[in-house]
Amino acid sequence: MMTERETTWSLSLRDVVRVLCRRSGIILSILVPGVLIVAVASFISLPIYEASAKVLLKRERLSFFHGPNESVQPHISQEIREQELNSELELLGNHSLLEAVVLQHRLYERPVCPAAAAEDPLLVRLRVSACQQRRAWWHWLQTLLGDKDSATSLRLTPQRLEKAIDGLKEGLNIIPIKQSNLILVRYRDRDPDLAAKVVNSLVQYFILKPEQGEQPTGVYELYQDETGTLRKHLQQAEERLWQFRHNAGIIDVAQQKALSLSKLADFEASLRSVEADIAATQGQIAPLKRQLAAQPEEISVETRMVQNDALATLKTHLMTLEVEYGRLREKFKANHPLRREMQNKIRKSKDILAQEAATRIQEQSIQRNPVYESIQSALLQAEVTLASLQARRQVLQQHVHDYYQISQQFDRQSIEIEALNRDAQLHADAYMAYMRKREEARFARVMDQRGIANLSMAEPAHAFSNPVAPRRKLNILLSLVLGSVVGVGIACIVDYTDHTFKTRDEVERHLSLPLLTSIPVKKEWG
Amino acid sequence: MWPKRSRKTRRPPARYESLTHLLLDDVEEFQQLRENLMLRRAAQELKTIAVCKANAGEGSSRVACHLAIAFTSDPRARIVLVDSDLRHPGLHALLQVSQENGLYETLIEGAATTKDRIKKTGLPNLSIITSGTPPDAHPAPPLLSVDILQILKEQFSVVVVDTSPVLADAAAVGVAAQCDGAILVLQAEQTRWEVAREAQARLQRAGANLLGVVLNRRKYPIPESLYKRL
Repeated sequence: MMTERETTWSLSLRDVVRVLCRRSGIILSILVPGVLIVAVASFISLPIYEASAKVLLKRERLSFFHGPNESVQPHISQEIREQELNSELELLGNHSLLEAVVLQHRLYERPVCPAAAAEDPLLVRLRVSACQQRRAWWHWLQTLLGDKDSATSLRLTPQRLEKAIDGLKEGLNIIPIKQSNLILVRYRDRDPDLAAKVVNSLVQYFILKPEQGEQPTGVYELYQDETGTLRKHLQQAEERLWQFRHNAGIIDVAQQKALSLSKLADFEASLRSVEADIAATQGQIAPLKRQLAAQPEEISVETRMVQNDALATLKTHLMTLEVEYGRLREKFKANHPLRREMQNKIRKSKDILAQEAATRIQEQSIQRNPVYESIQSALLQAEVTLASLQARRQVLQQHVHDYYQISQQFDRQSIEIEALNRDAQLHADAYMAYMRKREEARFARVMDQRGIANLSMAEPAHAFSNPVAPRRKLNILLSLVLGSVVGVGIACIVDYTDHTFKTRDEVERHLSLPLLTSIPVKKEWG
Repeated sequence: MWPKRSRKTRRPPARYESLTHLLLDDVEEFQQLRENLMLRRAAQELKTIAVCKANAGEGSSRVACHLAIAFTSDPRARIVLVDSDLRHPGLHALLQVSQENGLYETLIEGAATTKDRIKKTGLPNLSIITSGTPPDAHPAPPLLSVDILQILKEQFSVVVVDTSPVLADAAAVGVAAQCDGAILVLQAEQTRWEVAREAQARLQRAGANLLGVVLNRRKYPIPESLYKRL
């Protein structure tokens, strides 16, 4: 009589350990061979070395050239954009570059397995023989699969070259270094020196390759020819322009036109003022005439007795004569003719003097009317001014007319000159553009010759003595972990699917019968 | 742990160097078995015990033998072992008794001749009826009649019958049904759940009084030092 009891079974540590111990065979049989195989394979495989070089991308070369008349300086950024870095990166894997490297180092001749001399240590020989064995199996497998691969000859066939290039590409690893302008070039090979050489030569070839955008040879000459033709055209256009200007007598049409226009303006202004003056003068003349008519021509100004002025003179003269007579008296006798003449003179003078004294002049000055005079003079002046102004006006009008004509002519001529100018300018622009391009081509060629490039070797590759592969410790550790995980997993699966009785719980669970006893297994026949 | 032995290749029967070894082998376990059986039995007497197995090679002969030996620890008891597995009898080898003249002859000649077949073993209160020698190509033998068991019950205090495999032999369930109690012997890591369930079902359908299960050849994979710590 058994009571039905519900068996709620939950996993205990004992169960887990029991399973592991029970299936320890499975676990170990997976783990141990796995680790051993991995360890042996790690030690037997050939060590692979890696050489790496860093390439720096910088702007040594400008990819455009500026003439002296550029008004706007384009912005040359000093930062290398990621696009450029990536494009350089892609170009590093260029087929022709790889081909050059392959040919230089004769990578097509290189056997997959190295050769081992007899005096090499055992490990090395072992590795080499393992490699050769692997190659033999691989070869056998390939022939089995029908893959005809005649890799026996060492001649350079295109297939061999391609295979060598593929091999190079496989071993090559080109990556950008983040947040810098550097590109890292890595190559793996079983020979450290060769790896270093390959990387260095690849980078060298890459640096010296023609710049993208660099024109192949012949472009410089093309530009040269073009500039020659354009120069001729330009000269012709300029010649036409000069001829025209010469024929028209123009030096600088704009200024000349401006000058003539200003002159025209001046003359017009003068004309206006002259006309204003004429009007003013005419305005003056009319009232003057009226006033003139109103005034008498002569008036008597005053009547006065005027002292004869001659008296004074006569007196003076008499005085002089007497003085002279005095002198003469002293010198000569009374009957000298000179004295007598002088006496006569004195007597005459005295007579005249007495005569003059007797006459009292009565003057009556009759003058012309000063007002009349002034008016008349003013009128005359005005008329004269009017006449001159009118004459001036005439002249000015003529000038204005002339200058107007001249300005119009200049205008017409300026239009034609514009057209000719444009033509010449076009030619000049084209010529300049081609000149620039030619300069760029020449400059690029010079830089190529000098080896200036946008790239430079920042850090050349050298041969490392430590192999980078196979990573033995990592391999073994990984195989350990993986082996144990897989082993435990398989053990669990096997145990779970093992539908046999192993414990009391199972008996009671599946049969609902009590376990009376368990007889342990005997080792002698168990 | 390793690929299971198929049913065709059964383990060879256990061999002891001497009866002493037999006696000393796994004494505690069988004592425990006997105790449990005594506990398990209901009100009625447990005089005939059938030791059943699902398939051959599970070591039920040994279990039956040792169970009988466990019963002999009581000096007043008289135990008889009956080997009713006519195909692959194992009791006679264990107890080092000759196989012939056993159950098979009794079945053919009738239950009355049972007494003639009882053999003595090295142990004083343990007797055995071996299987006899059936011819090789013999079909299923006639059922063990209830008379044989009656006769034995009169003479002995405990009758332990080692039956043939339940799944292989249809007569085995009959034998188990005629006994007062039956125990099923399973081999650890060999007998499958489905097989055991089937055997149990058959026994229960036949009306046998399944008292419990004995797990034979059990492995304890955890080392004792580790087990103590868990």
